[in-house]
Amino acid sequence: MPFSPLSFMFLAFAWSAVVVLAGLGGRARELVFLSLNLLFLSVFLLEPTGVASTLAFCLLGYGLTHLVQQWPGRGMVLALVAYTALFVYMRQYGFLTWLLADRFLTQVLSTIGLSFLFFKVVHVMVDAHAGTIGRLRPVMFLNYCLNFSTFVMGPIQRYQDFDTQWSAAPAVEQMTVESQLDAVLRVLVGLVKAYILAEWCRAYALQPDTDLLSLSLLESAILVYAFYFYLYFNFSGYCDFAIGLGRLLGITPPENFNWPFLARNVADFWQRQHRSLTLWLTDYVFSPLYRWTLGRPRLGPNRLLGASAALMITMLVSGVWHGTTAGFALFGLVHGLYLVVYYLWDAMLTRRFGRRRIARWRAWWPVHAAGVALTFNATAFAFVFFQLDAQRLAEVLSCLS
Amino acid sequence: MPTRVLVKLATAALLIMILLLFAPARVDFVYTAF
Repeated sequence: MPFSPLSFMFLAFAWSAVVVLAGLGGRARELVFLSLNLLFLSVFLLEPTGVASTLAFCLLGYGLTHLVQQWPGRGMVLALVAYTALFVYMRQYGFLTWLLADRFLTQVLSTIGLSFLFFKVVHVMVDAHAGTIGRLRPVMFLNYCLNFSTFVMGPIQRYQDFDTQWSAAPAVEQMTVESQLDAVLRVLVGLVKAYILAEWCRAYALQPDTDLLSLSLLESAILVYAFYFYLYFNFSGYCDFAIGLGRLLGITPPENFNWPFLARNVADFWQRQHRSLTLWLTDYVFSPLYRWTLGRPRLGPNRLLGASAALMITMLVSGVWHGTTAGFALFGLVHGLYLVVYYLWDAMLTRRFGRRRIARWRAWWPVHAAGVALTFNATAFAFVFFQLDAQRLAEVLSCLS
Repeated sequence: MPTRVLVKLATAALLIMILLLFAPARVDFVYTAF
């Protein structure tokens, strides 16, 4: 069931939710929001089996988080392994065909919003284990997981932020007319980006069946750039819409985009593109891995080796989180390689010339412009892997070699 | 009403008009399709 935020039904639903929630407080507000979230899932997004599987996935996450809080040692490993295995099964990753018989690979379970839901629940599990989340109430946990304003495509909000904002007084009552207007404008800008600008770009963008090998370099470049801007307007438009709606509901999700095509290098790019994902990956994948490598002297005296390995694994996780085919894994590995090359280059320059001299050199506009152009082209190229299946990828690689 | 608010209202009206004139019936959101 495709989700359409511009449909009259959804806009009426969202506006009613804002008005109804503004007039409520305490437990009633929590329960009404939960009802609205379940209504959204069942009316606007999923079939009944999809609603059931999504709800079961959330409730299992709640149960496992309790297990982690009660039994912190092995419970954490068990919970993470079990939850990740279920996520991989529900997402129907391609490699499952090697492990499971066809009759187990059904498509009846919902996958819409599942990647975002999985990262939100894992964050709650890890933070509950670390003690930064106290006692979880089931209604608040379900509201956090199923929050209709961010359910489909994020941004990935932290539970602590959601809880703090929710506990404050209903936002619309506190907001001035101008701040309400700002929130509505943000929704409208998001809809214009997703419905108009993204669709214009899509008309020229790279398609899964595009035969890149038969095109000239210029034609290929136009398709690749159009695909880049299509992805940007589609996703950042949705995020603007979610942030504007969140502000009206009193639960503002974090900013997710900051002009990624103006990034000076690939590390800067990931601070500007899907930032809530970058922060999640940094906290829950890169940092634990890097800390683990620091305690392993066998990896060598140089910290760069450990950091590089942690970066490659982190970006591989990012790639397979984005999608289930080999192209997405390659997207992650290419970005991992970009980041490793960038940090090695940066370390080498800093060692040779000193940090202050390098900073001055980078501030010089031709170097800045060259960095932006290089990063833009490198990141636009990496998005090609979103559209290539394994067979097409093999054709392109064999031709290039 | 301050001019700033009027400008924002006019911008909102313009964006609604653009959506009414040019928006297709529905779009697919990429991150739900992968």
